[in-house]
Amino acid sequence: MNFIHLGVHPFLLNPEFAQNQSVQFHGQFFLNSNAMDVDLQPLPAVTYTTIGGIIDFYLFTGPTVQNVIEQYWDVIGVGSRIKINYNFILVLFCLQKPTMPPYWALGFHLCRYGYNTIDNLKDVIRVNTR
Amino acid sequence: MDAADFPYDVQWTDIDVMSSGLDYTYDEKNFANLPSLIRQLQANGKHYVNIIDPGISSVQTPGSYFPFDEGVNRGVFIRKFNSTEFIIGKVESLSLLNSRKHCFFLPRFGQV
Repeated sequence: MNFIHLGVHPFLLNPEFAQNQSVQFHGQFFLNSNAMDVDLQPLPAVTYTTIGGIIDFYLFTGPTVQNVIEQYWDVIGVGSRIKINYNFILVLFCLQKPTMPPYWALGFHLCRYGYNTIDNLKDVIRVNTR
Repeated sequence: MDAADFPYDVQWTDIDVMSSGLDYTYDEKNFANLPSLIRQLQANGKHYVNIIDPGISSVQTPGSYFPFDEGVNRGVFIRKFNSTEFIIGKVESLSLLNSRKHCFFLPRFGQV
């Protein structure tokens, strides 16, 4: 985690609905790149089965979905120094976080070489925005 | 797409929009008033991406092409080994070892 490398991030985002339809989220992150099964059980429960490594398991207590994502990004921050948590209470120090892409960047992008004139470009924008 | 709530968020233009293929320019004949079209897009909540190429033309009339003149002033182009002399070519490339290039690109759009 102290250098940039390919890896696998088993991350679970779990919404829990109360009777009044309010929702609280928590997150789970199992920092382990060994082969593993992750099974959702009917209890409900989650079972992690891995063939090796250490149990380096994070619980993000939320309670909003934004909180959980922030807490997760704190952990995976590039160059971060992670202090392992005890009793599932998360304590961590982070020097630098990865850059989040802007939301709009995940939208649809229109591009081509050869619009040639601004009228063609305007036509493309017009037919795609109606 | 707007009617269908489809997230058409970004419009790009490629290098055919440039004037004579020069970075940070647009063809004022074929793409007249491009900036106002972009502002209109932005006013409608869309974003615009302008494609540029890494080479900055070094063969324009001196004083006529701001990106080259400014790049020379700031010393961001690749130089010969152990020398202040630029590598000679029709374009100058920004030196990847020069951290100043990172701030070179962004302000250029203010000049267009």
